[in-house]
Amino acid sequence: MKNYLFNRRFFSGVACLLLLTRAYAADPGPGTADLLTKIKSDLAHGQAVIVYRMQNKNRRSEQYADWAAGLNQFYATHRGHYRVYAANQAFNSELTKSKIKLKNSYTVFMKRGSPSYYYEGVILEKAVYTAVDNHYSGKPVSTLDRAFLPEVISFKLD
Amino acid sequence: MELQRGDNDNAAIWGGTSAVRAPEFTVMALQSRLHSIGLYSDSLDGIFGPNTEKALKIFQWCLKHAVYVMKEDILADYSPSVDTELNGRCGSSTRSMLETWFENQYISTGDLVRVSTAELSNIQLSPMFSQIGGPVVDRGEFLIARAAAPMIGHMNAFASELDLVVSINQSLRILGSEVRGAVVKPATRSQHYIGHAVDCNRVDGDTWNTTSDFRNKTQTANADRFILAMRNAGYRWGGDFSRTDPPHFDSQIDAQSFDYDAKVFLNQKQISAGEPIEKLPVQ
Repeated sequence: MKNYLFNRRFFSGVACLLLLTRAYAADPGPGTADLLTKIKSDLAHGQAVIVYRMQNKNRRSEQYADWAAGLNQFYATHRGHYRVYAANQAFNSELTKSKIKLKNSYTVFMKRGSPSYYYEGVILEKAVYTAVDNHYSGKPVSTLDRAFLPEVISFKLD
Repeated sequence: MELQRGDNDNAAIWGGTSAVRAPEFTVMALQSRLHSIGLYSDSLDGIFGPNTEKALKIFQWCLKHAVYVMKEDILADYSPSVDTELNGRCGSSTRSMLETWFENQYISTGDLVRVSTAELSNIQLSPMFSQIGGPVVDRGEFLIARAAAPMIGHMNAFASELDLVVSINQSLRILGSEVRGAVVKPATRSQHYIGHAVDCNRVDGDTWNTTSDFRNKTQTANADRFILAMRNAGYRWGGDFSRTDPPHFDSQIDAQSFDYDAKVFLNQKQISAGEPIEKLPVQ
């Protein structure tokens, strides 16, 4: 009986880990060597791409909480159209080559045929994602969108 | 004799010592009572482990702090009257209250309330606001802990004085809901999980006073006055945090305290179990 319970708990634990791994599969994590290749491929296939650099890893902080909730909620409703990646060294180098001043936290939005956007700092308002998405999907840019649209940058990977 | 962690019906350990005769009130009886009042969902195995202890501590917390209970699926006001120690042990006074709750068919619940923006002159829901709470929450309403509801009243009053509109992006957040389809790990602790925080923009004419505005120091003077008024009223502004968070205001409960743990359990259960939520007029 004890063995049965142990096995049941153990396999439940493994199943949870697998589910979590799958849940975060969209994020390859820093250090992924072929990130640039992946991004180029996504852009070539018409996907919009979000690349973020988040310095604050403290999951007990309200800043982290608001950032994670905003990105996850946006991605949950736009996953078919967006790929989300954590920036790595290679991506940072590309930004630097384009004379973009690297910040400890930033988010870059890219889509083929559309301007790229650079948000300096941590995105804490979901309206930033929505404003970019409205622009990328050809919707009229509202007054609200204009208030939240990040800076346009001359940065292309495709 | 106090039932306590480590007690075990099967091993005949009660009150921390081995006994020949089983007490009238066993660990399994305790688990059964805690289950019936909605605080224990683990197996009724007669083993007083950490889950039984946590459930018992939350019950003791409820005796001191609960605002509501449910009776036959209807919300009722609860007036805490017993100053029971929060020790996770089941002595005579805790047991007596367990029996009272059981006899009255009380079920524990959180202190979330619905607040309607229609009743607030200077607060609106942002177009990006994600409604949660299921069918019990009407359009134009948002959820906040009753203990934090005065913060909304203050926000509305200060915004009215300064001719601002507070546009709410998020209040209560569901713990774990972001995991499905998530790209980044959700926070482990946040005042949003207990309904004690609001993320908002203070709209001043055409200026939304965004995070970028605060970073670039281009926010309006009235946005600063609003923050000062909120600070003076005792609330925290995220712009003051070491990791700045300008949209964030909260009526903080120490996230390391048991008060926080109890509220996370009860308020998140209120949503996940579809428990009723009172509509509260905000003064």
